[in-house]
Order: sequence, then C-alpha cells, then structure tokens
Amino acid sequence: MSKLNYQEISKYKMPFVILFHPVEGFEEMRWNKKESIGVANWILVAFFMATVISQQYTGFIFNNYRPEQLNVFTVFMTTIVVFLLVVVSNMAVCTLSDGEGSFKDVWVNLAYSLVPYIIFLLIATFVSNFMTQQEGVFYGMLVGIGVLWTMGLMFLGLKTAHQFTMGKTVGSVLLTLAGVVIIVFLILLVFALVQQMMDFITTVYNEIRYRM
Amino acid sequence: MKLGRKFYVIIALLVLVTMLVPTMVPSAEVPSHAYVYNSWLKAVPSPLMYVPKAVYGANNMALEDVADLQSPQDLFINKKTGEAYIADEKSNVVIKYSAKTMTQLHTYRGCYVEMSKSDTNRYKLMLANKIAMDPAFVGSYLRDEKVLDENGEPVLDENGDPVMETKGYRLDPFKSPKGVFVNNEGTIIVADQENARVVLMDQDGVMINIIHEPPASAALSSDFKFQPQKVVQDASNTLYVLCLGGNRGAFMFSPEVEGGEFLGFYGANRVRTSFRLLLDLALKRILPKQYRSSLGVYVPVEMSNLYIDDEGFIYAVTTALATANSTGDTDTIRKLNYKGTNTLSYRGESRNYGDLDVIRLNMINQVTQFTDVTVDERGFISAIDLTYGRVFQYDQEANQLVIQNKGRTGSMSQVGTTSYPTSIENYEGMLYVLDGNLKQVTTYELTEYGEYLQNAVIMYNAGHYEEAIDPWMEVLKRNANMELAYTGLGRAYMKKGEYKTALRYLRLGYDRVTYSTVYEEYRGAWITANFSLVAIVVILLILSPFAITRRQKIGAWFKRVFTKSGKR
Repeated sequence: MSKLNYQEISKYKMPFVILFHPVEGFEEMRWNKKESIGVANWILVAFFMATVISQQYTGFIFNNYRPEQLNVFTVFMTTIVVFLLVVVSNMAVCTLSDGEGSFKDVWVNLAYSLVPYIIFLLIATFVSNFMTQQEGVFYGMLVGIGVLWTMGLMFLGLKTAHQFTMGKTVGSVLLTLAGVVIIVFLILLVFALVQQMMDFITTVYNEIRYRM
Repeated sequence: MKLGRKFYVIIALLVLVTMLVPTMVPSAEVPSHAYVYNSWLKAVPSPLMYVPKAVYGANNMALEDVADLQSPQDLFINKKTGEAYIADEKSNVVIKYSAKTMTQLHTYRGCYVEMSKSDTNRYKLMLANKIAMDPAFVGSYLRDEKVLDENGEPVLDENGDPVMETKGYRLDPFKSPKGVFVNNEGTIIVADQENARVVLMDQDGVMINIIHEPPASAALSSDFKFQPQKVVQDASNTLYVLCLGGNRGAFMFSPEVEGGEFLGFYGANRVRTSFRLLLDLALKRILPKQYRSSLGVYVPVEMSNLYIDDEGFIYAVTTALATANSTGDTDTIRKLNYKGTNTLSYRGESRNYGDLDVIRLNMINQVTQFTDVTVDERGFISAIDLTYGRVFQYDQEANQLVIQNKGRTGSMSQVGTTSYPTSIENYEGMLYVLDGNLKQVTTYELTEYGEYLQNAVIMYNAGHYEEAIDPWMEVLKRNANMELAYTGLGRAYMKKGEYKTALRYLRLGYDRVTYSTVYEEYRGAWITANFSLVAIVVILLILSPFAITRRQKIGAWFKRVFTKSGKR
C-alpha cells in the first residue's frame, strides 16, 4: 500500500487508520487535531452493544451466561462505567507524572483502541454458533487476538497522549489500575455512608411520627 | 456532538439517585417442599417424589412391658424376613417389629449369657418352688437345646433323636444401644455403646460373640474410648463398626474368633485441605520441635452411618462440620468398595451432596448433616439430613433426583415432617424414617412422578435411551425444571438420529458436551446436503481479498462491459 498522506485523512476514518498504523495515527490525531469525541462515543456505544450481543448470541457451547440473568444495567456498569473509571484514574495518575494529555486526548485514544476488540468479539460471537467444542480453540483465539490488539493500542495511545517514555507508560498503567481500585473503594464508602444517612433520617422521621 | 454541561449534571444526579435505593436483604429460602439443583446451582422447584403414607408412633408401636420408645437411634430392616429392628438408647432395648405393620414382635433388653450348670440348677429350683427370685437371676431365661459332643455334633439317644437339655442364660443388659444390624442368618448385631462392646446374638437373644475394645495400638490415641455406635456386616462376616470419635475410619472385626479379632480400619475420610492446613504444614517445617504440637492436628471427619447393599458395597455418610465458616463438604455420601475406595462420583468428579444454599443461623452455617443413608434394590441412594430433616435422593451416577421434606418442627408436628431424624431405611420401595424426638417411624411411598422419574433414570443409566423417552416425557409434564430429563431426551433422539430435536433438548438440559457431539453430526449432515451452496460461499470468501484490493479495476471493467457503447 502506498504511503498514506495523513494530512488528507478525515477525522472520521482515524479509528481504522489506527488499527494498522497506531503510532503515526495517534501522533497525527494529537498534533493535527483529528480527534473526534463524537466518533469516540459512538465506539463506546458499539462496545456496550457488542458486549450485550456476545452475552446473548454466543453459541450455546461457549456461552456461560444465564439468559434470564442478562441485566443491561450490569453490562453498562462493566463496560461504560469501567471505561470511565479507567480514564479518570489515568488522568489522575498521569497529571501527577507530568503527563501532557488532556481528558479529551485520553478519552478519544482509549476509545479508538477498543475497535479491534469490538470487531473480533462480534466475529467470534457469530462464528461460535457454528463451532463444536473441539474447535473451541479458535473461539478463544479470536477473542484473544482482539484483546491483545486492543491492549497494545491502548498502551500506545496512552504513550502518545502523555508523551511518555516506554518505561513511564508501563508504570503509569500499573498505577492507573491501582487507581481504579481506590476509586471503587471510595465510591463504595460513600455509598455506605449515604445509606447510613438515609437510615438515620428514616429512623428519626419514624420516631417523630410515632411520638406525635 | 458536544456533550454539554447539562449532560454531565444529569448523569451525576442519576448516580446519586441510585445510591439512595435501600439495600435488600438476600434470603436463601427454598422455593417449595421439594426441589433440585440445576446446572446453574440454583434450587428449582420439583414435585414430591415421596409422600408420607403412615406414621407409627408410640400408640401403635406400644411395647409390652417397657415404657414407650424414648430415644430411638437406629432402624434396620431385614429385607428377607420383613422384620424391622429399632435400637433405643434411653430404654436400652432393641425391639423387633414386623416391617409392614410395625407391630411389635419381640423386645431384647440385652443378650443372654450362658450360666454355669450350678446356677442353672439353682434357677430351675427357684422357678419350680416359686420362691422369691434372687435379683441376680432376674430376666434369666431357660432354653432347651441339643447336647453337643466335642466335635459339635448333636448326641443321639437310642431312638436316633437328639438328646435335649435345659440351659440357663443370664441377662446381660444393653446400655445405650445405638446401632443394630441383622445378617442373613438372623444374627442380631448390636452396637452397645456405653458397654463399649459389640454384641452378636441369635434371634432368641442368646449371645454368640461379644467384641470388646481392640488392643491399644499406635493407631489409637491413648485416651480413646471405644464407643461403638453403628455396625454393618458384609458377606464374609467382617464387621464394620463406627465409633464415637473414630476418625480413622470404621473398625473392622472378624467375629470368627471368640472375642473378635481387630482387623484394622476401613474407609476413612480424606482430610479437608484448606488454606489454614497448608499454612500450618508450612509452619510445622519451620518451627522448632517443642512448638509443633501446639499447632493442632488435622484429622478427617468421622463417618456418621453405614449401609451395605446386596453386592457388598458399603455406603458411608459423613456429617459435615457445622461451624461458623463451614461451607459443606464434598463427598459426604460415598460408595466404598472392599478396599475402602470411593466409587461414587458425579461425571468423574466429587460433588457436594448437601444443600448448596447455606443459611447462617446463630453464628453457625446450617450445612447439611447426613445422619443415615439407605439404598433400595434399584440402586437409588436416599440420605436424611439432620439440619432440616430433608431427604436427598441420588442415583448411582450421583445425579440428584430430589431434595424434599419440610424443615424440622417442634413437638407439634405435621405428618411427614421430622424433628430429629436418626435413621432412614427402605423396604419394598417405601422409605422408613425414624425420628428420635417424636419417637415414631414415618413411612413414605413413591408418587407417580417419583415412579416415572426412577424408571426413566434406570433406563437412562443402563444406556437404553430410547425406551426412556416415554417416562421422561411424563416427568417433564410434571416437572419442567428437570434438566436430567432434557438431557435424557436429547441423548435418546441422538441415538435415533433426529439431530435437530436432540439439539433442542440438549440445550434445555445444558449438556454442552453431548450438544457439541450432536452438533458436529448435524453440521456435517447439513454441509453434505447443501454442499454446492457451501462451496460457492467458500470460494467467494477466498477470492474476496483480491476482489477488494482490485475493486477499482473491477469497477472499471464492469463499466466498460455493461454500459452502452458510444462516445465516452
């Protein structure tokens, strides 16, 4: 294929460019403002829907999800909310390590990296309906390729967004994961405190009511 | 698409609102009287397999001259003679009943030990002269027997009739008999707990052999008290005795020798490995010698009861530990062969035979604690659980058939419920459950659903999948939750070659392995039938990369060929 002229590529084609030319693609997006939050958000919607589809329509042999327990809200939590947490945590960690990326940069880069996972997940879901157990290796392989590709892209995307060196990127990824855990812990804490507060308010209210 | 500030504010409000929803308390209540665990390990309702038929309480089991049953501990039914034996530890008796009607036939207060000739004569004199009986002779018993010479052959008189003499026997009473077993010759074997012995006697109660504590050996700790609780005997006359605190397995005795010969231990449970155990093992290596003993010893759990079937397999149940942390043990029901190895496995693996939803009550996890097991002629294993009085039934492949019966009740009981189930037995297709608190025996008979299910399971396990189709359909009519039935039907249709129907049923039965096998056949057949279509699609797929990369050239070619010729 001829060398791509990056100047000409529209911002809507960037996700597919990133698939095969990650480094140049991310750099291009950053310096020439080819980022599009709209595209990123549509990719997130596709991520969510692909997860739901994989839970519903994976072939019987490979599907470990109880059909009556498919809860769209749970899927939302595990996909979109997890993504949000990762981005927030990443911003928190990288700002402290002199990262240069803005919220928009990280959001868009990570969202664009999800594309291979979505594609392979959908292909795997479709194909799993026609495979037997012995061929299950291929199912795992398809999903595995998608996951690895996505992880690679995410890594490169973060590196480019914050302009880190390789070593620093590795460190920041680990810290980001730790950060996610801490954020979840804090949210649960707040949840419990709000519960206690509600309990207190209802108890006081009942006390007053019964004494009147 | 700019997501404005409003959007984020709305999201934040939604999140806050969801946090205000009050938490709900989870409850693990079983859905109905009877249930089964499906492949998702969830309890789903099922019809009852057994319904109570009759209750034999203190009224209709009235003992002749002894107080009512006070604390019956073991029930044994001799299937050949139709006699039932109950051991009662508080009244210190073993009572023989007719199993069909539970009418009392005989009471054994102990075994009769032979008196010396002089004592026999004294006793005969006392009886003949009707004088006050010496308390030492109370409960004694006279019996006419053949005189035997040194070889054990009966001595014959002039006419060829055996010479009879009257022998006297003194009563050696039981103290807390907890287990009873009767072998094919009619020998009654009693685990006489507080007397620390196992008594073998004949149908008249005359002692044949008494087995005492085995000699102290390295295998037993020095403070071990021999307290036999349950006993069975196999076809080679070996006795298997369960003792209180005997966690090394059942004690094996041979009764051929007078006083019994201790043969060793049988069928001990495996020690449950846990994280703490591994930790202690590691610590033991590191610590100096004097601190090692303080770590404590991990011993296997002792068995609670035994049952022997006609083929000589011994079924052992173990009471799982009920502590604050226990989650129930696996392999609490085992089918042991002559070596003591467990041959009962669920698809090749061990399984948890108890309840999977464990409720926590009073700081203790209410795990299933099996007190007894019985196996009927067709091989169905029924075990009774002490925690809730439930009956669990499994087949020989450890498929779960049903868990039924309501929870334990107090003294105001409903027919079919138990308060403190101590023993379960089967006779002519019915289950007999002995209750130690309510002092009664409840009999249960098979329902129509139970019959269909058992018939279907037997044919299924024997591999006769097609003959099982009708009973499986009947089962499904009554219980749409029975995954075993769907798997059975799936395999039946697989054998018949109707792949599409088979796939449908296997999917409902969640049998992925068989589904995969059938699907392979189905797919192969479909491809063979539609081979031309498949071939075209495959060729197109292979050619597609070339087509896509050269799409402009192909497009131009099409234009050239299919548009009207003329001036361009």
